[in-house]
Amino acid sequence: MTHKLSVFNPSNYPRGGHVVTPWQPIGEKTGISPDAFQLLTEHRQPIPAQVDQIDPSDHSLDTLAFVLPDNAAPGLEDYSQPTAAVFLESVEAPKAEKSSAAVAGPVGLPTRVEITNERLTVSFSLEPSQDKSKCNWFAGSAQSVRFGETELLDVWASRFIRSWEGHDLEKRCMQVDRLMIPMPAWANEPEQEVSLFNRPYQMLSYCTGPVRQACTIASVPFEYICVDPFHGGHTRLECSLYRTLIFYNSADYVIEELWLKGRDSKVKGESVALFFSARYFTFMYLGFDPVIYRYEQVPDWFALECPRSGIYPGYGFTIPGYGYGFATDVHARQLRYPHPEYPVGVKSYKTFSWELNPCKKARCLHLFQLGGPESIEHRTGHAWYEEIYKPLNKVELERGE
Amino acid sequence: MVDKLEIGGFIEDHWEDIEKRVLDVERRIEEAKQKGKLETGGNVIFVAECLPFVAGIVHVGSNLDKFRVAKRWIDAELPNADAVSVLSALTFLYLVMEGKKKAEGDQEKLEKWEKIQCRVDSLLLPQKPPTAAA
Repeated sequence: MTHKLSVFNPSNYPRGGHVVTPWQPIGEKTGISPDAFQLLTEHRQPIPAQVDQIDPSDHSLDTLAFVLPDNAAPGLEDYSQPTAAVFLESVEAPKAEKSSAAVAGPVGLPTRVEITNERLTVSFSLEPSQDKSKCNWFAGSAQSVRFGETELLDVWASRFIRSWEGHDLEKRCMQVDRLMIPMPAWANEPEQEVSLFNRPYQMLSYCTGPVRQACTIASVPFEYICVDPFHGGHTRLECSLYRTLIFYNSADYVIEELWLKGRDSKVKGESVALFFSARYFTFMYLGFDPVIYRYEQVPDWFALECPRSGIYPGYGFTIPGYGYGFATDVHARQLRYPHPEYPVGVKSYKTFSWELNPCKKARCLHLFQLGGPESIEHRTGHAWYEEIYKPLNKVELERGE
Repeated sequence: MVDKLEIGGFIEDHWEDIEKRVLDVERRIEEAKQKGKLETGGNVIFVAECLPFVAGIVHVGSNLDKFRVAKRWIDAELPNADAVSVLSALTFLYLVMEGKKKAEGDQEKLEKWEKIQCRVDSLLLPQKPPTAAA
């Protein structure tokens, strides 16, 4: 039995690329196992596809990801017009490359997740510290982002000065260093602040396949306390910040999904999604005068760049530009440069921070660029549109022949 | 300029590596010339290869406060110039002078640094302004 999956292109131009959709409704209607399926074009050419188990305790988050082999025809902005189709069928032996929660999947130490593709390596610290030093403020940060041998977080030291003047040990990006959780209207404080930079994470799942890698981590639980306004009793929730890091093969960006789960320790199994706002912190050297592309009226994305320079007759630019772009579906508040609370003033010009608006779930994109002809501003805006604002994420199942 | 950036100590501490890096580029260009792979443009390639590395010395050896001081000076002298490029060029000239000074007594090395000076001067030093006679 073959099932037709219609794909909806919300753009007014032909588009290909990554498609993601919840697996559970498809799996339930077709009875097909996530470990034994294949996706085909109408000419029965296999399509790279995988099902990721994002959170082992919640199968509603299982996700089908595949790559459209050809551009989908232009469609309507409201996702109301199917413009491409792929075909799903079960197979006896697992033909789709198995993607499962793997304890030993990522390379490296158990305190670190290192995900890599043919272009980029991102090394993510789960522990506050990676050594026995007292520097315990790196939890949940990417301490290294590498294009080949070039460390993007400290390009000058790694690319031009090489090994004789080590990297700045403070370097990191993608760190959610603080959460603000709203309190009830009758509480004395408007929000509860939770520091996460010194709170370890644990890896919940790691999935890999022909399309992407997806790794879900969760912070060790912390307590959120609400007071009953009439009886003075306390409700205590054990909360964890969940972060899924998604890394497409050959991409130079990481997509991240964040949500905050609270559990009543007395009621087993049940959980609730909480509102939160996350603050990101980055320590990255982008030159003495980084260029910041951020528009007040566009809070969806911004980009930071150390511009290329050293224009040289007959040779062009001798010093390549590089940078970082950020995009989100919940809007980012003001970018703070330098981060005002960074304690080492002499290095604060390498620090950036920004806060997300309150949400129950956020989808963010972290784009890294080294050289290349396209401006990081353009690339970040485009990535925001295609991966965050109008992704190819609507897929409808039709029963076919 | 090196004083304004306060990178003299950094250069001194890492002189061996800096010299090795610069002389390595010089050696590769000479080899290419000898093998007939490079007929012209040696000076341009040499400077273009070295400038990013010299910019790296400025970036890593200095800091924001010192850079601001140096930039103010450049803005006054050369309005609209790219500060990092000018600082790199001036630092490069300083490195060449240092190279020659440190090579005194080592004829072979001194010759290499003199050749490097010719390359750098031909490209980084401003051309003589036209005179009325010209």
